[in-house]
Amino acid sequence: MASPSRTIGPGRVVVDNIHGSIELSDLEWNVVNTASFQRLRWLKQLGMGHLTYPNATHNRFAHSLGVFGIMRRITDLLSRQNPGIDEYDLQNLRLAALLHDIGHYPYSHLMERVERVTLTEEEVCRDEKRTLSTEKEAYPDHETLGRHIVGHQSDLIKAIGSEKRAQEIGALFSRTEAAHPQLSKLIHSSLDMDRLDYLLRDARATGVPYGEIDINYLLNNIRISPEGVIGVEYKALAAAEHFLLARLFMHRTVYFHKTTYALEEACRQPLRRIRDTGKYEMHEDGRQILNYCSGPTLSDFTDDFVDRIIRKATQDENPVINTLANCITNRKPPKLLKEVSGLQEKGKPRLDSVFRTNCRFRLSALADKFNLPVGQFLLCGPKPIKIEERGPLFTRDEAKKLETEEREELIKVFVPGEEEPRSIVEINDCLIRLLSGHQFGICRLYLADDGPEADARFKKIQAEVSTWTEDQ
Amino acid sequence: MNRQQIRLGLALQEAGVDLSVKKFDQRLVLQKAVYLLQEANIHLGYRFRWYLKGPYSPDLADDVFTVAALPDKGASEVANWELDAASKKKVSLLKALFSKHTGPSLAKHLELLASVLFLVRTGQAGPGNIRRIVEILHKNNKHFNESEVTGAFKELSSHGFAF
Repeated sequence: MASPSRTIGPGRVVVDNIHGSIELSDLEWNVVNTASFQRLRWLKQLGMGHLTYPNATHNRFAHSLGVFGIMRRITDLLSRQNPGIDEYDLQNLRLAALLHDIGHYPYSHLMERVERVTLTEEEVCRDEKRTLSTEKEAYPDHETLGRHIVGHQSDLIKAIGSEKRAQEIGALFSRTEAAHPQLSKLIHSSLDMDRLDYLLRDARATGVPYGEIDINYLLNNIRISPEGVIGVEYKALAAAEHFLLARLFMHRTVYFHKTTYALEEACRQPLRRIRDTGKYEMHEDGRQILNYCSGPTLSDFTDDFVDRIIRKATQDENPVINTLANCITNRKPPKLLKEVSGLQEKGKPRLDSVFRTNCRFRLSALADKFNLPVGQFLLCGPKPIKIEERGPLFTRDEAKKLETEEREELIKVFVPGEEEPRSIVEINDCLIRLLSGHQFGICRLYLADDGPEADARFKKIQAEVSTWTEDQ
Repeated sequence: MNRQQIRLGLALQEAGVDLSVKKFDQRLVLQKAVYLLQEANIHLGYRFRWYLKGPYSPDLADDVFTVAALPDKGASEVANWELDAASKKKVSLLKALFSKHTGPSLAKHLELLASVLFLVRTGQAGPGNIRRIVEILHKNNKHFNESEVTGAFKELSSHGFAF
């Protein structure tokens, strides 16, 4: 292993630039040294973020160790506070933290969510009826794929010690069973270890300071209640609020950055088209992905897997596919024609509804007018980001009767004088209470055009769409 | 609407399940109905985890809120699309599951069917191990008895679910 490490008797220490020294037991160290885990070195944490922020080349390997390191601190703390907690369960939690990203796809969510990509010609209104099938199994999400990998890769099963335990760990991070519902929230709740690590790591790597959360204060103020509910002390409320707001700011600035998003969309769209045709060894459905990741081919399932497809696609006979693929290989991001964005109350009509309707009914004619394939117009937007992601409130009044299923995952705070913690959205003097019914959404229209006089054409098209936020 | 949302809208239409999100029971029915459709190989692309009320998909929750907030609940966009014949046929085989009860009793009934199926399909209990299933359900504050679980198996089998 190339990371700086040293032996500490039974186990090792890895030095991490975010958390400092991270101690691993022999068992954990053996898991890290499997080929299945080492694959994570070749998956960039921020997808195509490095094409905007030059130093954002950090990977899921370092992030996974970071999440493990945080979980180690928490399990040590819980063990001290509650000597009755079973060490086997705590070690399972640490292993689940270490392995929580083992199923990540090349370029992460970019490839994983290819089924949700809408091609522009599918979006624009046409007269004829189109057909959809439900025959093909969608690509599994990374947690499902991770559970499959942990249960099938012999190197991981051997390092973990048994197939049964490997399955327990997979079930823990993919949440397929109700065992230890409170402890498993350390992996799945709003205050999960995953977020605590990636906000800090991404902030340091990009140089954007908004993710600099007060991690030590948060971790030092975690407690488990008599009912077994995990929460933070009231004095750490500001740190918890800052953590939730930091996530929103990092999304607005880094994760939804217009250039990164343009390049990622220029990758997603050809991948969806290529998947539909089964070219360039792109998996046609979820079943093929599971088979591919069951054996030694897993090691090839890295960012380079997508890079190879995109390189081949630059020569594709389909002009939309090759134009978009060339956007990536030449780092010529599609240009932003129009953006509609804002913070709005969930459940209210979308801010972008007028713009989207105009796009649906007018894009086809606009493309014809400028003699461009409509597929080179990319109408897209990330999933809206909620202030408290796990609380899908749609009005503030719903704060006390949230979706029961997700209410359990909100950050909990110990209010002085009360034994059991309350959800953060139930605390009167909490900023998050006021914002929790809101979400930040973006809708963008890009143009990928590498033809002659592209700049002049872009300006003319931009002028035409500039009024598309108004009712016509 | 993206393709996944359109496919969801079409499948629900075909199954006769209303895309309403105002009441908790309506949202619960949507969650369990989509879970059952998916387990019958009608692939809609959602991932279900185990929550308080059994299998639940946060992505599906997001999508139903998004679509329900659209003008006419997205009907005009969905109108340009239809499911292929094979998918329609598969959905029609399950339709009776969603019309047998109404309101809260439909929600409770689908919660039972979906929870039992989830526990078996994820290997947490064998299909013949009724007692174990009841035990897990009780542990999760679901008070279904052995006869209800046996009935759920019969009903699922009669709709083509294999164990």
